[in-house]
Formats: sequence, C-alpha cells, structure tokens
Amino acid sequence: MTKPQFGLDDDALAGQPTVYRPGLFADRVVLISGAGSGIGKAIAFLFARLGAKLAICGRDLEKLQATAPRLRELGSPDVFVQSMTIRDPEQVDALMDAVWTHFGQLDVLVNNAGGQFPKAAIELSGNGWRAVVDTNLNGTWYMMQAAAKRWRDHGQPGNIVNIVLPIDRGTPGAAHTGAARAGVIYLAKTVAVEWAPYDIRVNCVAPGTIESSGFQYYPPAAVERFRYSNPMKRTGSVHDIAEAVVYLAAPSGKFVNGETLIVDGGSVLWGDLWVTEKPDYFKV
Amino acid sequence: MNPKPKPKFGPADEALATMPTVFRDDLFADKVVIVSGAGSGIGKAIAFLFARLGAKLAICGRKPEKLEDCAEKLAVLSGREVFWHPMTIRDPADVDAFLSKVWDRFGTVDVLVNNAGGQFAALAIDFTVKGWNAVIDTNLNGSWYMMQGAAKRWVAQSRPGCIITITAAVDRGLTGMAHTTASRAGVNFLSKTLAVEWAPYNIRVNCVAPGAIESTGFHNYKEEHVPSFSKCNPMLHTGDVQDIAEAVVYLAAPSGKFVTGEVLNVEGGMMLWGEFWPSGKPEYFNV
Repeated sequence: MTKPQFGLDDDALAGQPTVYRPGLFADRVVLISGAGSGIGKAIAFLFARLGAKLAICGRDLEKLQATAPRLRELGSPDVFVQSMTIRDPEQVDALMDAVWTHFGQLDVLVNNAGGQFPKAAIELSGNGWRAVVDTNLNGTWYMMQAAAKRWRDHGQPGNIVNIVLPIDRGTPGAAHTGAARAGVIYLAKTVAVEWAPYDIRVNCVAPGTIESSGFQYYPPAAVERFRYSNPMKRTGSVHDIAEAVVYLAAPSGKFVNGETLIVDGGSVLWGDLWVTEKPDYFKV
Repeated sequence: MNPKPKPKFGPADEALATMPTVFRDDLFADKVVIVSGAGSGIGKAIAFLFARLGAKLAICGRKPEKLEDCAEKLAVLSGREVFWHPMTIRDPADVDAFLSKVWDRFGTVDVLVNNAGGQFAALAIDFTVKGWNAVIDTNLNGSWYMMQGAAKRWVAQSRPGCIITITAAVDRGLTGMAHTTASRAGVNFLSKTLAVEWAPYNIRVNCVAPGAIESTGFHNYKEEHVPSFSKCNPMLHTGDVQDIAEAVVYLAAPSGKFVTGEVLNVEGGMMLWGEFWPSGKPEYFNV
C-alpha cells in the first residue's frame, strides 16, 4: 500500500501514542459509521487498541473488509462489518438489529459517517444541498434514534458521540454542511435532555481542519491554506479526534452531556477558512 | 488519635487516591504541573490525578496545613518531588514570588492549572461592594496574574505552555452567584483571547467549566440548599471531582494538543435543563 497523500497510513496510525490505558474498552461494543477511511478509521483504530469489540459500517464494503483484520490485530476481539448507507432508515434499522443480534449489546455509537463538497452557496444545486443534509443531518438522526430505541427497550444505558464541525462562525464555501452540522449539534443538545431519563449521554466532537484522506476532495490551492485557518497555524491529526471521542465515550466523560467539544486549534477564534478558493473580495 | 472522619461531601483522600482513571500510568512522567487551590476539593482531586500519572507537582493555596498534608500524599502517589507554598493569587507579588520559586526549583513548568477561586451564594440585590470585589479579585484578577506570570516565563524560556482554568458553566447565567458568573465568564473569554494572542508562543489556553460537582466546596452552601444540587441537570445527579480532574488531564495531555480557546463544560447538561439556586429558590420561580 502506498502512503496516502494526506493523513496517516495504517502503520503510522496504529503507532500513534495514546493517553489512555490499555483495556479501557474491554467488553464494550462500539459502533462506528464511516469507519473505512479518514477520521472514522482513526477512531476505529483507537477503540480497537483499547480492546473494544467493534461494529463498523460504511458504503464501501471493500474498504471495511480491508480495515476489519487490522482492527483485530490491534486488539479488538470481535469486529462486525456491514455495508450500508445511513441515508436509508431501513438500512439503519437492519444494521442496529444485526449489531444487537451479533453482540447482544451496544455501549457506544460514534456517528462519524458524513461528507460534504466545497461549493459557493449561490451555486448549490437542489440535489447537492439535499444530499448533504440527507446524509449529515437525517442519516445521523436515523442512527441516533435507532440506537436510543434499542437502549430504551433493553433497559441499557447508552452513549452517542457525533462528529460534526465547528460552526460558530459559519462555514463559508460549505453552507450545506454548516446547516446540517449545526442541526446535529442542537439535536444532540435536545436529546441529551429528552434521553437523560434513559441514561443515554449525547455529545459531539467538532473537528477543525484535520489532515485526512478527506482533503483530496478540496482544491489544492485551498488545501495549501488550511493550516493558516487557526492561530496554531497547523492542521490537526485524525488521532486528535479519536482521542476526543474516547474522552467523551469513556468514564472520563460520564458527567458531560449535550456538549460539543471543539478540536480545531482555535479556528473559531481566529483564521479564515475557505474550502473553496477564496473569493477575491475577501483578499484584504 | 481518632481516625479522620470521612468528609461529608466528596471522596476521602484514600478513595480519591484509588479512583479508576481512563489514563495510562506514566502519562505525565516527570512533567511539572502547577495546581492552585490544591488543598481541598476539586483542586486536590486534580493534583492527586496528576501525581498518579507521574507528574512533579507545585501546589499553592492559602492554608499551609492543608497544603502540607496534600503534598505528603502527592509525594507518595507520584514518588516524585512536590513543592508547596502558601499564598493568595489575589496578590500579584505573591503570584510572582510563587512562580519564581517553582521555576527555580524545577527549571520549567509544563502545565498550569488555575483552580483556585471561590464564591459564596447570595442574591445579587444583596451583594456588598466588598463581597463583589473579593470574588472578582480572586476568580478573575487572580487567575489572570497566574496566567500572565506563567506565560512570561514560558516566553522567556522559549518553551511551550499549557494553561487550564477551572471556571463554571455560565451560558445561562448562574442565579444566586452573579459575582462568580461575571468573573468566570470573564476568564472563559480571557482564555479565548489569549489562545489567539499566545498561539505564536505555542501556549494553549483552555477552560474546564464544572456544573454541580460534589466536593468539600459544598460546605460553602447552606445545608438545606444542597439536596437541590443533584436535581439541577437532566442526569439528576451531581458530578464527582474525578470528572473534573479527567477533563483537565484530557486537555493538558497530548490528547488536547489541537484544542485551544475551548471551554469544556462538565455539567451533566445543566445548561440545557435544570435550575440551580445555591442561595435558595425565590418564591417567584415556584411555578
């Protein structure tokens, strides 16, 4: 396998130092969507190293099947794979049933699946808008509710971590995903309250510019500027996001609920992020 | 000598020393960590966790006997050097002297945890000028003296730094504690500003904002109001001091290396649902 253009290859990812103790997720079952590449894969790698049993889903069966053996090598005692799209509520339901049948439990749901493409809002097509909202907002919601219903019905506590984006200053060049992710952030706050009686915690992690295979979808000129979009003047690593997710999912986060943990090097405070090429108007 | 009675609120030292942690044993091996207000409550829990993770600790606080007792226990937990020094963060000269001693002793510092601070419950209409000034002076001014004092030393040494301040979850205000709300909100936004200004020096600046955390700090409130604290968030229980200690470690460790200017709320969802009335709920709000 050649080194990917962006992000860490599997060996580098597997060797990232972690702050967490070995065995932290022993006997726990963690479901990660979009685990075949990028941030999702990094999250799956870290949970595997901490001993979790894993269920991974995504659209590309080949990628998932290539990832699964690696997760077992890293320490996951059982890896369940299902290809599906979170955009289809029936497929989400079938996935959840399959996970419960296979493991008899689910402890953590990491809603990582999602995506967007750079486009000035004025140019967005109806289909483009709907595709992003349908995946990032609706798909995430189907997963959240399907998991919560089963936790409620089994009388088991639950834990949801959604991967979103820092939306505090908007997301110029990606209005569709800004709307969808903001929706998820406030959805999470709302169900953090509604589902507290079921002992289900709901939180989000909002990554800023994290160098991952996802960078290939942006114009090279924009990618070159990504590291100047925060006061640290660098991009983050997929492992930074994985460690944030584990913090919230583990007992360390047991009194954190309805929170969005921003991991962005301060980009919501300073910096000018354009995922499209920066319009001349803003070159001041 | 009689054994020490178990504190009424929060874990006893023995329990604190063995609380499960998510972090690996040697995570802070030989790193130097300052914790202010480490003699009791949340500050002590933070110091205990860093000690268990191998850090060398410098602790300060106002009461020498509490610090000395805590320092002895930290040395046992860490097997490493502990420096303790009684002082108040309200006095910039005290802060300067303390930081100079710490730097002299350890050569440098890796993490500053600004935990010292306090408040008392009262309705704003009843505040005295003295009471108001005391809270602002400690929580806002004192935290600032510590932050700037540490940052100047890091810049002089061309070394990276990391500051974590314990504030409060203030997004909906904090009724019955308007003075501390103002001071903590000040620190939250001071931290965001410094996170940008001090990024060129490789200093990260973050806050942990606790909600109702059961600790010795509960003694500062009237006993009849304490039971309501476990009903002020949708989880219907209070947090424990370890929740705050683990949040601090997450931000201070390499796990937080791309996190700056952030306020991590650890409050069980209190800002989304629940009412917190540490001074008692006025009749008007009984609806």
